[in-house]
Amino acid sequence: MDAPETILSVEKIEVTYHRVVTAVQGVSMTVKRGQIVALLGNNGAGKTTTLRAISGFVGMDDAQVSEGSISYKGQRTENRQPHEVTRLGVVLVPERSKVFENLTVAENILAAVPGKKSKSQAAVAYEYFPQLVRLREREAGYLSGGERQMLAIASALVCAPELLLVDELSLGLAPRVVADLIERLQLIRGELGLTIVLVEQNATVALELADYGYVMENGRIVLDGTADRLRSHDDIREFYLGHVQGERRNYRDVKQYRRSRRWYG
Amino acid sequence: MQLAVNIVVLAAIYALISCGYVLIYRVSRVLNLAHGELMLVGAYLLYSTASLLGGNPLTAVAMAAVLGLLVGVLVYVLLMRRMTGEMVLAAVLCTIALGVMLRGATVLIWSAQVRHPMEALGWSNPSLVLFGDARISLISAILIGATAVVYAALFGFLGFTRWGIRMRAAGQNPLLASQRGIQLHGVYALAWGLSTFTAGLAGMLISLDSSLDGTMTMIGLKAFPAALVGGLDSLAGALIGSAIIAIAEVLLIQFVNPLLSDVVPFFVLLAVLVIRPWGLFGSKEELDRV
Amino acid sequence: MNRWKMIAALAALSFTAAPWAQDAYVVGLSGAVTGPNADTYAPGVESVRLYIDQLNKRGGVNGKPVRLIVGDNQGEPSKAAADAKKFITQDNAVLLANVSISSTYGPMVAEAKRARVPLLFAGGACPAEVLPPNPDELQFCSIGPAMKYDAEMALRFIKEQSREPVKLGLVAMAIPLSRAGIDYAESLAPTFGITPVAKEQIPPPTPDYTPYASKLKGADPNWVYSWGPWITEVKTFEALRKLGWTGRYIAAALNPAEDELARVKDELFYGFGPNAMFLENLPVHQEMRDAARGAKLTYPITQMTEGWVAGMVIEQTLKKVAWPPTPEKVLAAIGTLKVDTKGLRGGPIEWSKTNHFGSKQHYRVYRWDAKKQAVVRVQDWVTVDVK
Repeated sequence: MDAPETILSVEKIEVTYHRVVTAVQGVSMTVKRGQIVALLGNNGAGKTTTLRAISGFVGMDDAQVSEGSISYKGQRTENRQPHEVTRLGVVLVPERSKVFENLTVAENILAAVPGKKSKSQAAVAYEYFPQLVRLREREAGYLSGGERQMLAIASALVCAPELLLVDELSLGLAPRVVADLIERLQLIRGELGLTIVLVEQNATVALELADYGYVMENGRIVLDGTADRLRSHDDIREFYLGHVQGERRNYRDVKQYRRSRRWYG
Repeated sequence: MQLAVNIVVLAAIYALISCGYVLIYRVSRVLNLAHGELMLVGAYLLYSTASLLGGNPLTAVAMAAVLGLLVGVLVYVLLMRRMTGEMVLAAVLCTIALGVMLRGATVLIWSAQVRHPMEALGWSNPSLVLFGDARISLISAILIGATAVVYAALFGFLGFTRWGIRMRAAGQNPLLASQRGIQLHGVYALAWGLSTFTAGLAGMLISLDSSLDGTMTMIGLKAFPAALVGGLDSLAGALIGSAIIAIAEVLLIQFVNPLLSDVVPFFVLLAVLVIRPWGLFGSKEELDRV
Repeated sequence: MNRWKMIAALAALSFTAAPWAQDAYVVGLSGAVTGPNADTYAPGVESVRLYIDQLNKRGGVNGKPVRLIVGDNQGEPSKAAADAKKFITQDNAVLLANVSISSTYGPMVAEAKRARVPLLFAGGACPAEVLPPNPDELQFCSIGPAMKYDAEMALRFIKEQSREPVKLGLVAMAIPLSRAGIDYAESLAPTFGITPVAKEQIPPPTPDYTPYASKLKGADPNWVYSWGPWITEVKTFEALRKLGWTGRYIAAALNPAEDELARVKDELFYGFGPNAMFLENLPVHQEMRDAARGAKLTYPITQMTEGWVAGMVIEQTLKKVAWPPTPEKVLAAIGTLKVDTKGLRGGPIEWSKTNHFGSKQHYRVYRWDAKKQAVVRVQDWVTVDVK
């Protein structure tokens, strides 16, 4: 793993919604082959927007990358349709509506367009998530949160990703389920050689899994570093990992911290 | 007995028309208000191919059907494609404009004269005597058969084929579909193609049974309550809705006042909308989005 | 292609008409050239145009050409009003004409009255305002079919043809004029000893006529009288036959009737009307065919009789108008008009102060003859007095 190639590079992108609302600004990040990169931050920090910008917008989003560039394996991909990006090997597991609810599990797997890479992608999906086999005929709308997440990842695998983007892996799931998912994701990554970008509010989970992390606030990246460095960073420990040294700070201090970040960060 | 036959024929007509509304709505949430005009175009295509290939009626029918499919794809590629991502209302208005344009174009190309594709094909439309002295015209019988085949094919396609499943997926969640590598434009174009194909088929059969003139567009609109009663995004609903409307209409003509037959479909529609705004078989959540 | 050219020419004409207006008799015609009812009216418009073209080839009227300006009102009242306004203010038309559905009459009449320009109804149905004894001074009607006289004629014919008691079915399109015509026939039937047994009013967009026909057949009529747009008349008949009904059917023979009788090929399907069909082969029919030959028409010549008669009326009117023409002079001329229709009608069109319609209606009846494999006349001119 010496000097692995850069698989994705995001350069100073700005994303605007409805042609006027700027959601993220000057965001840059680099992902190297085989890495797991975590994107941390609170609600509304711009993590999901960044991920969506990488995976492509559709017309009805009325969003676009208005500045900067995104390249995947040397190809510019900003402002391309999601299905094109998917076919290049960049596949997103979105946060909400991640499965086709009125379709059965089997149909969800069938609906995804298989990537060119391997012979039977549907088989891969069931191989890593054997629980789905007995749920095949169930409508995805009736699955539990964990099963839904499994199906979402499984159907993303059908598209033969090289770079998997996962938005909120752990949100709303029981810790036991999350642990199971993480284990499986690491297995998949090892066997299929995936590169993964994770968006997480739960920094504990993210930093446990990731090699490298970026912290976003108010549409900008405010901090980045290896997982180990981030774990030991005071601010991260305090605001994201919940470690309190001495007296617990109150909300006003937190606001103050944010403001200073915005102005000087 | 004749009553039952009349109901089945009318229901088949409405069902054949309304499946086109359902296909497009289900996939793209767009209400295609040019559906009647596309029926008209389909019927005129048959008239044209029949006039060109007089000695070869079957080829003429097949060619017209294929052209119908093509027209639908073209409508999407040239017009509706630009509306993807715009507000649904804008797309619906666009279909209204398309309808006005098609109506004008058909008069310019084929004139307003009443045409008889049946004659152009050189076929005749004998009436078949069924049990109980009920009668049905050959074309009406074919229409019932065609409706059955179309619905069976659509159910099969949407339920069991990869592209059918993708079409349903795209209708439910276009964004996710796109993220799963499904090319939305391809799916939408296919939906428009199929919808226009069935509309054209309906237009052809209706014009074969009686004649071809501008009122065809209004027939298209009359089938609209059938699609809506059943729930705009459900094929089974369209089938049931067509049956309900046909039963109401035929019975009213027979036992009450024929003048009511024009309004009652809309009364049924209102009644259903009050009780179940998403239609008898439509999915509830889908409506919230519109 | 031909039609595109026609439209381009129309557009060009409307731009250039005003400067030429002084050199020609200008007639403004608003018609349903396109739109949902165009099948009924567009042939009429085309045939007036054909007539005026021929007239100009012959040297026009009083040494001056007649300029016919056609506006397409698509059967919409607002468009007819706009047409009339333009004809009067921009084109300086001295005569207006209407070939469209009856809802376009009102707005055109209003415009005509404002400018006191006479208005000729040349296709469709005559409004009550032209009938005796007190017609509106500006409105005239050269149209053949007329609700009351048609009903009277049809009932008389049915009675004469039947030895058995007549049980009559009635068929209308569910539009005001057609329904009124059928209601009138229903009320008149008993005076002929005819029993009305069923009355169907069928909405214009009807995917399947069978349910209506089933009900009609259920009442077991041996005759059916239908008065309305041709589509309703013929489709109901065909639906009845498909159900195995064997009775006789008489319908107002509107524009497409001659070709339609030949298409349907049913000996008990009668078409009656005030116009002589082309099978009569009158010299005037030959004249029309000759005119059509060079003109690349959109509609068959068999649908052009009404428009041709209107053309005759326009020619004869303008002939009596000395140059330069004004609406007043045209009004004076048209008010006392007598037009020889050369056999297209059973008699001349004659207008007076008390009658802008005609004092007599003449009808012929036609049907298909299987032996001759042709449409034949079954009854020569029958006259009904206009009271």
